[in-house]
Amino acid sequence: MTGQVELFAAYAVLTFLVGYYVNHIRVRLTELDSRLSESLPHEE
Amino acid sequence: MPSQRDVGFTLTFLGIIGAVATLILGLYWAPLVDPGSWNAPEAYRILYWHVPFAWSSFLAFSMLFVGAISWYRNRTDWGWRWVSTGSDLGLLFGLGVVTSGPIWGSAEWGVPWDWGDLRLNTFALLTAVAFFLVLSKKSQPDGQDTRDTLAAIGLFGFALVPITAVATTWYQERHPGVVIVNSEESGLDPQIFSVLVIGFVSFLILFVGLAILTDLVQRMESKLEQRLREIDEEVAN
Repeated sequence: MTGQVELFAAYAVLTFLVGYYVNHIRVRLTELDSRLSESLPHEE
Repeated sequence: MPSQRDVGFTLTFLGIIGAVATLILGLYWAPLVDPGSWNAPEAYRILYWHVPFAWSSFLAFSMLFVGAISWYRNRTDWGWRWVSTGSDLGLLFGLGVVTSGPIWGSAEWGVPWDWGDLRLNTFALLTAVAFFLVLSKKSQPDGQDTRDTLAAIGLFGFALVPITAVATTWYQERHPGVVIVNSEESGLDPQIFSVLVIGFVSFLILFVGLAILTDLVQRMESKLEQRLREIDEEVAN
């Protein structure tokens, strides 16, 4: 046993963590953009 | 002048490119460790991201510490944002360390965790502090009392950073010193060292990019909260 399975598993977990966080930030920024523009005062 | 968002995404993208390059170099260019000295020689390549993850988590906890000091001294907004960003990134990178480490440990040691090893346990506690802070920020109403309490917990948590950092020198049980084929007596193999340096720089860039974006999210959340308060006041009047 050389640890190749563990090597793959570790990099899969780390890639998932970084990917999850980057996507979370991207989605949150888009959501905040939209909520901020909705909250702008409308001219009547 | 580029916006905070552009700078953040650009650095994050560059950091990810560097991390992928580190991974490829670690897998295909860096030499194998001595199969006679290691139970799972291939698994050692986990360290090319595991170690930069650990460095990045220390940066995050340092950011948390500086932010907490600034919050206590002057009640600065940026201080609180640093506490918040530091705890988010501390949790992200800390989780990476406490998951990839045991995966390597189960291959090399035959057990994923050693409860007698100081570094493993203090690092897990540090990550647990970040986890607590992230959950508390989400569940508690934002206000000076909450910020005071969470900043205090962050300050105490930071005390674990130097202990964790020097634990393998003071009190080594399991967490390894590195034994490498072709290395100088005390040093790392130059190729392994080079890949680690590339990894360090890449994850530093990634860390800065993510910190800028996390900070931006917090600024926008504050702005939205302010706007909603103003609307509530207008409606009430």
